[in-house]
Amino acid sequence: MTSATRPEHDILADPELFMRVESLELRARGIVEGFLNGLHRSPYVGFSAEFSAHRKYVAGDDPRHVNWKLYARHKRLYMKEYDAETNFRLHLLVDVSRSMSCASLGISKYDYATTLAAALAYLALRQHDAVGLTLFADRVIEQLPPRNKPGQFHALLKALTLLPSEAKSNLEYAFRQASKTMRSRGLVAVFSDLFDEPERLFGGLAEIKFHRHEVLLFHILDPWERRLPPDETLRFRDLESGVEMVADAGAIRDAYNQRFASWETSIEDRCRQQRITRIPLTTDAPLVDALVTYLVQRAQLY
Amino acid sequence: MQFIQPLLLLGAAAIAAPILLHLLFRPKPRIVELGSIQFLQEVLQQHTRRQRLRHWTLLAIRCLALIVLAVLFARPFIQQPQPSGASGRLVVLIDASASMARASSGEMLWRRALREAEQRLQEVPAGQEAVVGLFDQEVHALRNNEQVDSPLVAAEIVAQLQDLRARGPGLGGTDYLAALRWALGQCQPSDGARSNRVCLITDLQQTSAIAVDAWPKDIDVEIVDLKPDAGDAPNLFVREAVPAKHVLRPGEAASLLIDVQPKNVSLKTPLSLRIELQSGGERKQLETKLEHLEDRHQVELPALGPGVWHGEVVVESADAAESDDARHFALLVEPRYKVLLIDGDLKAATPASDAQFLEAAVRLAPAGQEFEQGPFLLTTKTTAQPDALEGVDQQQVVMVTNVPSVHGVNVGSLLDFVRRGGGLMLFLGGDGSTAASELLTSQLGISQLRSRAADGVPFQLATWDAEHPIFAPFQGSEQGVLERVAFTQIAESRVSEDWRTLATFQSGHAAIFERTLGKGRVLAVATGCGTQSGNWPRTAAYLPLVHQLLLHLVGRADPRPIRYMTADFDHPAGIRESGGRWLVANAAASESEHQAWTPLAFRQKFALPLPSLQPVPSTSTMAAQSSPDRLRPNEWWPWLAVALLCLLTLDTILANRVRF
Repeated sequence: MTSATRPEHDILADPELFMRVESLELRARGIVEGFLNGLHRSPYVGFSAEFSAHRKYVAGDDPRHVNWKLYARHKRLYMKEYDAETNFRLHLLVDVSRSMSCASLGISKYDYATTLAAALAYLALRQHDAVGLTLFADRVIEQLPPRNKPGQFHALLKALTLLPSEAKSNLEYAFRQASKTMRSRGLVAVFSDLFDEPERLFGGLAEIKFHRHEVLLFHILDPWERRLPPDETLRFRDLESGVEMVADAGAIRDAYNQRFASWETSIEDRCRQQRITRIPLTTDAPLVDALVTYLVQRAQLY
Repeated sequence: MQFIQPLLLLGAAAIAAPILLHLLFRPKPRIVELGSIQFLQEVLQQHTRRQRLRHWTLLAIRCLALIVLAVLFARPFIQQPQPSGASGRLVVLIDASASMARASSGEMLWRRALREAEQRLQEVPAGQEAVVGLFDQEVHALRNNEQVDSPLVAAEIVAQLQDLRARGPGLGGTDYLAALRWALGQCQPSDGARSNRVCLITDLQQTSAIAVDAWPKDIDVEIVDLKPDAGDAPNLFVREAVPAKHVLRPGEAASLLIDVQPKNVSLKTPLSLRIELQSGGERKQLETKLEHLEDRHQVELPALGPGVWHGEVVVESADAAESDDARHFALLVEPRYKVLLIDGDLKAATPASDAQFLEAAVRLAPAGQEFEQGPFLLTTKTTAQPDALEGVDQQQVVMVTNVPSVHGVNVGSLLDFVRRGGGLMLFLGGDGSTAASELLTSQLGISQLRSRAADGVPFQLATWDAEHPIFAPFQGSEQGVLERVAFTQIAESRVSEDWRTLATFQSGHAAIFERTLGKGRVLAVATGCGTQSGNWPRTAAYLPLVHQLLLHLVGRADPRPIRYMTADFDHPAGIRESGGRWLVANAAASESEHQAWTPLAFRQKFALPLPSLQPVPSTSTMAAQSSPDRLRPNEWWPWLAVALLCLLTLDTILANRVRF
């Protein structure tokens, strides 16, 4: 099945349907093309464009680049100028631990993460940015240095089509290990469920931040991980430890939600402290929305 | 605890069902893989403990509910404790009044009552106490001959009742209130386990009815109504047979007043009355016929000689009650008592003589009485007369006035007269002292005799022995008031221990005292008998007091020597002498008026509870009467139903919070 047999916007809006597109490349391209075709507006051109300076408005300038905040303060029109950073680097850190294979609604977190990572890579490479990839679990499993050569996208896709590892998560060690290879300052996009102790998790992220990277945390969860399945007694199995336990989902739902929300809040607070952008996602959310969410957040910074 | 449907307890085996359901048929849950179950583990750690507790609690509640349901259908009840042999008492009251002598259906009510009592006593469990009281106007309890206060067991009482068959009931009246109160006193204290019962066997003869105070509701009263036959013929009975005068002189005319009841009966044939009189070996009889019944019939009796005459009036009637056809009466025919008055006053035979007051008093009749002839035949002499004591043995009493001045009296002969049974009355007032008076007083134990005049305040009687027959007429004021008798002069003396003081002055000196001497008696009055000692001869009490003093000396101080009483179970009808009196016992007249209450009316009159709806059953009857369809008051099912409802409610609440 290819994305050409259906309207792209339908596929993009239905994650389950979209993920049936077997080709990762097609999915990545589909997301980006759909995004760039006006389905979602971006306030600026260029993924890796970085703000440079202000200049006065002259007639004929694109009003999309007016700095409206300045106008509100000074009642004068100024245009933003961007420098296209040809040496901008995008580092994709994808969690391939066993826990990422959770797929309660048919879409695994791993597939979701790899598709999103491929979309970001495609967008960046399209703008001639260098993109690197690190696959990690309890350590760095595979790593591609950031490049913007013509074959880089396919190399990335090939690495991303690996099956999830059987290893457990050790995010701190993996991040420390990955940070050693990410010398050039750039954007680090982490795709993980973050199931680890927050101290260890942010210890590793701090190592990445130390190298002046901008960190983007795509926190990907399965819908049933955030909110338990419907009311019935179930046997829950931990994908990484293999531990099982029987529980009545309905009976413990409130307590579980409370506990899970408390954990997410702690993650969010730590991200805020370390100036890390966290984007919570569940695998039942459309991938394009994930992309848009990031870009909107990024635009608010400028 | 016992069960009406014990087989249904097997339903409790149904508790195996929830156990099996809980343990065996638990659904296999489907597997859900999550990236991490660490949060589940944290939450479940707390939750599992609660769930496990609720799980087993729910199982226990369901098992208990099934058990309660099974027990509910089995209908448990608590067996009421049966009265044991050592608890509770049967009190049987047997009517022994005169009306029980009636025959009914050929059998005397009395014997029928005894048979009813025996039957109930034989139903008493072995060892249980039973008390039987025969009652008329009082209760006569059957007691153990060896232990008077120990109640008998039923078997012993039955034996005593059989002995009573030969003996008829008494002739007394009926006092139900006394009988019921006695029965109440015989009941043992109620403590819930005891069951006292009272069985009243009677003909329910109507009497005065006074309700019993607060009859306990837990003491059943069984009334055995003997239901005597009404009878075809009216019950004719002699209600009263009373002489017009009970004390007569020889040859004095006597009449008898007779009351025959009922008055509303018209005699088809003249009613025969027979009157029998007996004194010693002498018998007299007369008969009369009554054409019709008047209020009272007066029958003249024949002349009677001296002595006590026992009389009986018998009416010839053919009714069922024979005991009330006769009535006893008594007559006392007494000769006059010979009294010798010896006046010791030197001024004797003068109008001022004190003895004249005494003479007049002896001859006159006390207030309320009339003498054709007085009770005393008086002879007066003075001490100056040498033959003063001649023929003294013919006398019953010798009175000596002005003792201090008496002279010329043969003291020895006088005292011998007393020793032989004569009576001597001495008036110690007066002046002087003679050898004869000193001898007389010293022989009698009287010393230091001297006159004492009142100093302004006259002497008066302050105390006297009210129980003594001399003073019996003075309990009222008809015969004068003794406290008002005043003396201006009294005689003080010291007396020996042989004397007994009967009355005193307010100064504490003896006023009247007596002693025995041989077979006779001596009375001493510490004053004169005339106006020299004061105005007392003119008081209303003078004459009756003199009579009483004399009658006491002849043994006739009791103004009512013949007394009538109602016969009872222990005192049959008839005449007997007791303490110088003649007691005439007759059957209670009220027992002859045969009107009976109904048992219900009787209970209402005496405020007795209605009988229990169900008699107290014995163990055997209770078992025989047990029926699964009957609802017993001591069943537990209401409580079990409430418990089951509570358990089901708990189950509903808990089941919603526990999932398997």
